[in-house]
Amino acid sequence: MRKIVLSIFATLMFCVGAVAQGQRISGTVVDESGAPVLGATVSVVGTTTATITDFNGQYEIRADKKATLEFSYVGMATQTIAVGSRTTIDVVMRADAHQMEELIVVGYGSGVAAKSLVGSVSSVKGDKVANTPVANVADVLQGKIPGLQVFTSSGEPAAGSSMMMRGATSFTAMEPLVILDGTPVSGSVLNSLNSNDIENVVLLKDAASTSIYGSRAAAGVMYVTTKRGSAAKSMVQIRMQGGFSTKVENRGYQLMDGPEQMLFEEKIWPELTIDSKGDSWRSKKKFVMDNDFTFDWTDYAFGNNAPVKGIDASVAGAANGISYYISAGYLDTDGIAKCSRNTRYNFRSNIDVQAKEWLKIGANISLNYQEYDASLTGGFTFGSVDSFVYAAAPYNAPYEIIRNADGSWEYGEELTYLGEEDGFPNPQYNPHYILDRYPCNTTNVGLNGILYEEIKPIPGLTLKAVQAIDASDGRSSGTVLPSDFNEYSGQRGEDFSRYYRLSATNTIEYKFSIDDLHNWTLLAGQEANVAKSEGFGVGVIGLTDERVIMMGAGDLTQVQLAGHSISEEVFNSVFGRASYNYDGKYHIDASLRADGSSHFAKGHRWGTFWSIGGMWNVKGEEFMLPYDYINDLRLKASYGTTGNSDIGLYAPYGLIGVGGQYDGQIGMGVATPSNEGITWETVHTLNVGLSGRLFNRMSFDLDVYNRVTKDMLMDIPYSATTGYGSGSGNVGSMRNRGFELQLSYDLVQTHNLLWSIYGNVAYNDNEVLDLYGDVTDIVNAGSATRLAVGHSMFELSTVKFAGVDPRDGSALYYDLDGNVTKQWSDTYSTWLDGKKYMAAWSGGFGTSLMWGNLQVAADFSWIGDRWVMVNEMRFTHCPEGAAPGMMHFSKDMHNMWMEPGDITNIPNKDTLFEELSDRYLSNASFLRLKNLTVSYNIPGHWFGRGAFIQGARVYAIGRNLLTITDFMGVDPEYMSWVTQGVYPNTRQYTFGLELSF
Amino acid sequence: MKKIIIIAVSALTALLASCNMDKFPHGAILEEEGVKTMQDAAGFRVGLYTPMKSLLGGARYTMEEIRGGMFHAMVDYGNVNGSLYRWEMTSTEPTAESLWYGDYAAIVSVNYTIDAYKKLLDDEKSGLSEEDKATLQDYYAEAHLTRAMLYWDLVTKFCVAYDPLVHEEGNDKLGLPLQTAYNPSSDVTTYPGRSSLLDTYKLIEDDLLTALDMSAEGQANNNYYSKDLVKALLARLYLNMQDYPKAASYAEEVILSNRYTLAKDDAELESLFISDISKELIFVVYGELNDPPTSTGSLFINDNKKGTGEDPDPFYIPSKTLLNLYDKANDMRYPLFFQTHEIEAAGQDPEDLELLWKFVGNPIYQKTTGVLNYVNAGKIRISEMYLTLAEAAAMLKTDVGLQKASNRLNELRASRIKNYVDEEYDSSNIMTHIKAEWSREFVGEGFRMINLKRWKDDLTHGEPQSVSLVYNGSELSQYDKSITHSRAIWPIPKREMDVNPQMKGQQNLGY
Repeated sequence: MRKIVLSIFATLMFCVGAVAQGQRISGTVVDESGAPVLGATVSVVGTTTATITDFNGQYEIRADKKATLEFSYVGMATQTIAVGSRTTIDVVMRADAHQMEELIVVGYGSGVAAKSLVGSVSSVKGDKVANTPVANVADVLQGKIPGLQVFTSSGEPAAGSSMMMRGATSFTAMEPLVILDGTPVSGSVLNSLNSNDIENVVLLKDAASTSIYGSRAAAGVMYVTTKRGSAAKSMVQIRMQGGFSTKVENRGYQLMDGPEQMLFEEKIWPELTIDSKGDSWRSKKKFVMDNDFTFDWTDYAFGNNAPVKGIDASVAGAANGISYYISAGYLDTDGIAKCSRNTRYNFRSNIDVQAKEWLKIGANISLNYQEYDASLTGGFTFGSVDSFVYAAAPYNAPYEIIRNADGSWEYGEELTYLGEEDGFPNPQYNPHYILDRYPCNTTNVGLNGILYEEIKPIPGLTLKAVQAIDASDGRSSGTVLPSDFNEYSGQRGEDFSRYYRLSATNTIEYKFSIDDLHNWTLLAGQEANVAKSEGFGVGVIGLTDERVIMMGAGDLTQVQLAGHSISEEVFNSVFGRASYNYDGKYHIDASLRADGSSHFAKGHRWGTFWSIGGMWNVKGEEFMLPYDYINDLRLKASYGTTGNSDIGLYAPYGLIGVGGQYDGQIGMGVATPSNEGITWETVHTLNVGLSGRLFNRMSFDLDVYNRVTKDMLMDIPYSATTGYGSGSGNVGSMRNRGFELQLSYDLVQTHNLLWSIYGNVAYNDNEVLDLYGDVTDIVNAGSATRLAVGHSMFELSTVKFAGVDPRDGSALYYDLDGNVTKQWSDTYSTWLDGKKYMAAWSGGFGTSLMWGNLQVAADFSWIGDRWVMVNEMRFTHCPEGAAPGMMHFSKDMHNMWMEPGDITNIPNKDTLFEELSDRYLSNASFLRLKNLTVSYNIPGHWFGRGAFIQGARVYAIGRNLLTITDFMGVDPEYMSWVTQGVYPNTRQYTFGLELSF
Repeated sequence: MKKIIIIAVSALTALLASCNMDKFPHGAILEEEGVKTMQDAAGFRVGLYTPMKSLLGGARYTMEEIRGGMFHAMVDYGNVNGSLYRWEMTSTEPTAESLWYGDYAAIVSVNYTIDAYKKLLDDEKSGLSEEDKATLQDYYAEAHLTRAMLYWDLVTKFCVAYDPLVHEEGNDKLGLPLQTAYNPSSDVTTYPGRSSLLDTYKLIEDDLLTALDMSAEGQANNNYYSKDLVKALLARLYLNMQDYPKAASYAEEVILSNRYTLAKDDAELESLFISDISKELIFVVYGELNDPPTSTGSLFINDNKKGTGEDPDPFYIPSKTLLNLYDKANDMRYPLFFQTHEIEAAGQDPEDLELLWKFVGNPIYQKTTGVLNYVNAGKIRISEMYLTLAEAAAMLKTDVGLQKASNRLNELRASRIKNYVDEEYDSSNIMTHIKAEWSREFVGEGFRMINLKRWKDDLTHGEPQSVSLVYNGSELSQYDKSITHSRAIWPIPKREMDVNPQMKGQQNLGY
């Protein structure tokens, strides 16, 4: 024991000694234009000694003659310079738009330089996601990572996004596995993370990079790294931003105004002019026509100019072997609809301590608190706010209309009840009033803590242990106040949920070189992962006094236990990887991982995943020397497997449940079939990539892949003789193949002007190769989705519309033999020339410009060849089943067939609503200006030398400013085959100020 | 330095973590632990009775009636169950699928129960008392009865009628896929193909004979199974297997037990058909307001306009031919089974029509006053034994048999018809009278297609009550079919054919 203490003490002395040694070195750091660089980090390689440059770009540091200094600054290429006998070292730093030199973590271990990567990865720097005016980080990634499609389906401030990498490889799971600072976490982290804390986001795509994550990596791995302190002088940053959101509405057709709809209704329902039932309608018509009255229901539902505000502060630095990054953030976004908002508070502390020469420990602790409300949206009833848009006539208004004696009119009180006498054929309470009577909110506390201990006993050997917790505690509180619509019997309910995931990861890594030519990195590790979720809810009814809406005041004989659930999952894994390169030219990587999961029964638990990959650094070859315009050229290929175990937690087990009732007794019965043999679905990925840089201006990155999913987890019909209609099985296979190309080009690189552009395009072709048994085609009645061998799982199938018979205005359809018929039938569902609801083509492009202190960045994203059924059009374009005032018709309806001889594509008014056909199918391809940022760095001399404020930046950000689409629905970003009455996506305009101290 | 390595390695080893992967669902009982106690056994017994609710009522009754020619579709029936009515079903017929999957789900659940009871009975460490064991033995017998009823429901719909001559010739027909175990799996090789019809009937017979071991003898208005019920079902089975001596013997045993007596007057008949209480009931499905039996009568009444029974809008109405079978003035069933209403449909002139009112509903299940729910408890009645005995005895084609058949037929008719005077029958007309009595007594109760197939009588639609209000009322004969027509039996659902490779080539002919 004493010896250990002594050795620790000696080590400590050694460290202290090291710090004190060396000569004084000073210099100036400037950029290419000669302007001093403020805040660049200057460090002595291999020690914790570091400093940062001051306002004049000057620094001073102590270092040994044998030492090497490293100069680094965000956005510029890091340089290392041997000290030698010099005491003055001046440095010119060059902008590095491509950030190729950073270390990229590809799954455990200490990471590799981007130029040594064997796998296919794409990364997005933190500055691209910083200051986003939405809570959801995934949204910002849209169009920035080739092969990753991101859909934000709702403008609800608390809503998340759906992501899909390289097409879908599964019927059950599409979302990539999210790794935060090395630890697997719930995907919802992307909604709770403060975007300003993010250092970078890396998407791992091929088997070479994902197989090491094994059983849950089939849909890709999204690796998020948070910021760490590095500069010796601490940097304090404060950001403030404010702005507002408005709706993005792209409906591809115009809706009628009030008088227009009145005249149209009169045309299709001539009885209104004679029938006594039409009396009130006629009186309304007179008012509407006389006053040219139109009420904008869309604006009523989603017209709020909703404020967005955020404050964020961080302190980062390094001293005495401790580096730190501590931040706090606040983001408050209101929704454009009533009762829709999201407020989030974030705290983060990332600390790394070089405790001993051989021991480094660290803790990343983040805490967030979120409070949100979500408006009532979703289904098709007038009762939800979103259906105002197409299910409320433009001549009706949710306000009392006061008609003055002089013939003028004005709005009175907002109506709580939309009654027949107000012209609403389906009388009901105003959804806005109901929202007022349903006060509710959801709060959530999230904790993310990661501890690590890293021991380096001998050079090259690293032992690392990581312990992490990802946890959240949520509470949902719902009240229905005693009101006229519930006979003054109010309700109160509280739902509690708690979740945690504990993981422990232990790795050992050894890096060594033989003759400086044979470079090896060997890694072995082990991981255990336990997650548990619990939920509990309780509610009462019978509250009578709206001032006392606590449960105790309700009818306690009718307490409702809404639910109580507990679920757990466990993963145990061992893994290893060997990386070898010869002289930095020929790289080979091989990985192996075995995963055991509680999702499966004993004997079916363990799955093994592997990969092998190679990379040839072509530029490293001597024969490439003459081609000096080629700065970098690399060719890579890999093959391997990953898995998906997303079948629910207890799929193998047969269960007994509550059965029917007889003679007053509740029975027991078999409830769930056992499914012992169920196991992993496996994705086999082949990836070939070529990347490089030409003329020191243009970078390119091309990947071609083929991914085959086998043993697909799928709900399949069972024989009735099993006692069950269906269950999960490992059947079928599917293929995704495609390519991704990313290009960037530095248009101008002069002293004070840097202008670059980038673009990426991805193509993915999905094809079902095999289903089950002899079944090769599954048509889903009532839906336009269909699964069939030889087709994409996203390919649409419905009845084909063949136009309108000019003689009688009947809708015409094609039957299965291609003959035109007036008889619509669900069984005529046929393929629609390969149209799909998830697009094969996607991408993004953008530009960034730095001109002196002004910076402009624009990022566009696009989706090509996507088709979606617009269900709203079955109301706006089909009067059958409707009554006067029940729907809001499209202006297109002026072209509806009215009399024999009319040539049109809108059939007569009696065409049945249920006749679903491709008449309602619409092109949901879009191009969206996802982000436009304009910022200006306030020159330092404005503050004077040695000023308290060292730097300042003002900026403006616009999100979703522009959308180009032919889509007929509200928003082409909605991720489904069908859309109807959605909460439209939002557009934000925010302005911010960033101060550095 | 070496020490540091040792410290590091041992520290790392200590941190190595692995967690138990045996995680089971919370708040649920695993399949292998389902029946451990008598309480569990009783819980599963409830599951033996719940299938009886759907077997004795609802679609099981109505579908085989509207297929049987005694009911006619109205002009405005909107093609509700039209493919069944017109004998135009295809293998994707949803009703066929729901009957097939529904019955097998119940069968497999009973299989589980039988295995679990057996395991508990055989378990020497179960600690059950002798009394418990006797009770459990009864449950075990009851389980076999439920399974027999379920297979019976399937075999009479999805298979051709049993014909002993065919089986003797070694030219067997296809029966059902037989599943007697609980073994759900996605492995298609474990799915059974169709057995022979002989084996299917054998299984039903064996199950009923096993059920005969139960200790309860029986009593009127019983909500639970009894020996009498088993015997009644055996009589029903043997009648349809054309084993007339056995059918007659079991039917007679039940009649002679004297535990069930025929109703004497219209009050007792009203109690039987409306209140579901009668000395005639060998078994009656339990029901209460919050756990009612199955609803049956809506297709024939469909009082969806006012919910009061005063403004019906039926999909199907009885044929005039059926109505004319009754002695309308004296048959006490007539006013209970039929009611006259003025019906208006599809813009035609309204007419007074007789509607099937047999399942208007027992008032004790009416949740809201005046709103019809069409719920009557399913029953197995002694009158079936009278007709079974009469038919079996008549089919023996002996003088003794004819006498016995005549007596039982007259006894039954005497209890149904006011001022009834016994009739004389001879061997040439006795079956005609028995068949008519089956129709009169059991109209709407799902016997129609079974009877036609047993008698090998063709499907006829007879005369409509109204030519203009009945769908294609003037051309009803277009729906008449030979009993050997493919649609006399139901299709094996396509969904089953698609997933079960053992059933390849075993679809019913014509589908």
